[in-house]
Amino acid sequence: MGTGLKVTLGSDLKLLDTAKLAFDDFMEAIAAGGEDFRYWCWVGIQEALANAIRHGNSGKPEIPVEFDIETTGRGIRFAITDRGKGVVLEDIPDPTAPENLLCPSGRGFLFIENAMDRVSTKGEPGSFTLIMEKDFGGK
Amino acid sequence: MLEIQEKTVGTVIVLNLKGKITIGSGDAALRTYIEKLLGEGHQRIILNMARVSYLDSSGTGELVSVLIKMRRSGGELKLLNISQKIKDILQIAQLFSIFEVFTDEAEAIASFLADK
Repeated sequence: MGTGLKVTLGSDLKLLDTAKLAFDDFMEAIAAGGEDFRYWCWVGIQEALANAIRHGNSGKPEIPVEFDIETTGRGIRFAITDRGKGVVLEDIPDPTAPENLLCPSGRGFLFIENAMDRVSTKGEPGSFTLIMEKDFGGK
Repeated sequence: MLEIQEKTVGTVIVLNLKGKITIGSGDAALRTYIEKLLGEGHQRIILNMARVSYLDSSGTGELVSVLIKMRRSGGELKLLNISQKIKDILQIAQLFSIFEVFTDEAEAIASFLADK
């Protein structure tokens, strides 16, 4: 089992800065990954947290979002859990399709997919988790 | 937090941006500022992004949204001095086909005259 950190946040976008500080502290503590690695990790985390707050928990501050970080043998695993119904990743429209290119929204998951090496989901009644893994030396 | 400094060069407005354009932090500020400029009749705007440290999907969407508003009102929005990381973000979103991007302010300003 790797080194881990669990942060529970209220569903308030202002708390993204708190999550960023926790992430930065964790990365400093494990002394892993360069600036680019950390940047792309945060791209994925920030989008996933924003989705969990806005869509999963409908922006209700009293509903928690859980943010877990854990080192694995080859990288870092991030899990973001909200209390929403979740999404089927394959059903998310492609924001780069010509008909969607000028849409003002819908690019969050595209950024997550590009930032991370693997993305999966786990859903239970009343709980949805997005799991993102980034490998040291990955993309 | 996004700081916006405005500079006028002839009929062109250059907005020097500093900070993040992200959800709840900068996206609304940029929208409000550009809507104000549009309301005042300005139609040629350059966003100098040299000191924009982070752009997320909401910020990206906001750039698209203000570009569309500008074009619908007969104006144009151009980007200046984007960092490599923001280039990467725009590349992922495949938005280089819709934005004009410059690395030199004088060239960006001159391009509006060429658009006439």
